[in-house]
Amino acid sequence: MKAVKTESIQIDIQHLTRAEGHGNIVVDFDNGELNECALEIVEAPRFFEALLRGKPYQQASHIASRICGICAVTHATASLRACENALGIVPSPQTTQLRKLNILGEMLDSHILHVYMLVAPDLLDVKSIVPLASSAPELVLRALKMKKLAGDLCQVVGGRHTHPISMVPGGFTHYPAGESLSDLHDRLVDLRQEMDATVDTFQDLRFPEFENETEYLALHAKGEYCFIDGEIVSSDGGAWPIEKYQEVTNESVVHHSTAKHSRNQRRSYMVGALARFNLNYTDLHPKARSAASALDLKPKCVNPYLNTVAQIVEMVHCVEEAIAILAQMTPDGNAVELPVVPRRASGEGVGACEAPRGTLYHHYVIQDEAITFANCITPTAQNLANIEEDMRLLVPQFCDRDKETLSHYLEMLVRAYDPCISCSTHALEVRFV
Amino acid sequence: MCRGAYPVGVIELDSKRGQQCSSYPIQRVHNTPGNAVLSLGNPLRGDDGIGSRIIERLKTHPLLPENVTLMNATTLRPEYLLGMKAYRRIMIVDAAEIGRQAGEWIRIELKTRNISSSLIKNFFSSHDLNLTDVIVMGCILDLWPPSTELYAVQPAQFDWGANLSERVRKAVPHICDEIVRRLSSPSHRVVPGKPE
Repeated sequence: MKAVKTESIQIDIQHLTRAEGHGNIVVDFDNGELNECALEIVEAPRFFEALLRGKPYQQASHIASRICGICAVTHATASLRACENALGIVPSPQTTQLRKLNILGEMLDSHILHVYMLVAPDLLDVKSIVPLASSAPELVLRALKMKKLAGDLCQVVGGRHTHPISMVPGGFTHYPAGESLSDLHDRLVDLRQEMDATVDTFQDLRFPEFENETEYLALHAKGEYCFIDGEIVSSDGGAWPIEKYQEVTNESVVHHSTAKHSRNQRRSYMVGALARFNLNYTDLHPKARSAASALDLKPKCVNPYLNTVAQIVEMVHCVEEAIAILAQMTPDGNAVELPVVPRRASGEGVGACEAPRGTLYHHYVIQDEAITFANCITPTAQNLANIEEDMRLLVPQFCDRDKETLSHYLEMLVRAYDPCISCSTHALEVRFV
Repeated sequence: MCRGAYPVGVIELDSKRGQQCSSYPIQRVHNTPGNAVLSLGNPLRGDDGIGSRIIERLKTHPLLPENVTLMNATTLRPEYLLGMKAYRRIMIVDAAEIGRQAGEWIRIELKTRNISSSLIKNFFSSHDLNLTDVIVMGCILDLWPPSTELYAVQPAQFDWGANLSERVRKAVPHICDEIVRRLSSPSHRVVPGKPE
């Protein structure tokens, strides 16, 4: 049957569901003209940078961690790396491995939440995880089991599930016992079955067919699938040291959002699992590449809906990398190391990590051990302009569908980016004239 | 903090004023596995920390029966459901807008059986999984304990800091005594394998 193009569509979704924070989708499509197409971020800024100013650098990671209850480990790690770079602290290899292990746990936890609890209901035609528990209980039980283990991994390494307490500048205040690490190792080996089942489940599910060839940005380091440090690389070419992050993010204020928008070499860019997959595919664990093959995901993929599939691939990678790290640490556990002391009391530094949703930057100036300047740029804020670019392409392509279907596709699109809207809001610069 | 109505099905069994206390002595009971007390709320947001304070006080309560599990959870994560099947009864303590004077509290028994299929079908969560979502999901998955009691305490304030308001603070020992009394009383005791 030939599709009939809709003459006029007005969509006003307040608020988007199954996403963290409050965002509205507004579309005005009239006589083939797209008059308005926006993702409005309507939450108030939270002023975390202002909260950091004047505080001792030793408190920064604990304050910054509170920016997000999902990406707490990544915020803490980026904050620690910014302080360490500012003060000339070089953490030990053991500290770096433990931090990586903690980030792997958080990445796994967040991806399970997004894949199973936020996206799966769309693909299985239910309204949320609650009816899914009735229609597909084995799937929900699997998700709960996986999520429990990811949380336990964070708790053992960071001292608690959310907002790690044992990570400090230069090291750790507490080291997990050998038995705890050994137990985690064995449970993660068992979790491979759940990962295989996850791949099996999602290779049968269909995502909307839509493409937007855009610029992808991620951290990159030679010989590893980079989550901490490295350099910023672009799918359009180019590499930047993390200290030059502002040359990449180029933030600007838009009138309909309390979060800023970013652009690099085009009007917008994408960060997150799909960007990492596209840019760092060869550094994925072989089992993760096999999972990608089973899921029919190949670089360079330009369908933003498949960010969820890239997250499943990363889940396999995280499980395998965590098993490898834990195998090195058991059975003796970690050596007790005192945190490395700073070489100076003042300086400027940038820390960068890959959060579940994409690249995260923390930038501090420290004067006599107190923070005098702070800037934090979250991945969701960087993705907002790209989401709107996708929406502008998607509406004319799918305008032959009824309004309900189009609205659903738009909601699924925003959800695919796994946005953390509350964390993306930012204090706007006010100039008095 | 608990908000809104509970579509699970609610029976308010009794309510007590904050100044009231148990009027009869209780004796320490041994060996009561299958019972758990779980607190919700942020201990750094004023009266939202009432649950946390109650758990802390129960830890040193001389008459708390043995083998009662005390959980200071702050939020009810869905993965916690996996551990719930071990219990026959769960007592949840949280601050809640119940339309009463600050420090007054009520005990609510949640009827978690026979959740209608239409309720399940239309269940959606706007952002996170709240207490109701997780309880309903636990019931569907046959993980939730058969007996659920919610101790809802009317807060006065949710200011920053670890301090409770005076009226809510005064309610803490009375709620603890009531929880211990119900855990200890033969008529209220839940025995593993014998649903209440």
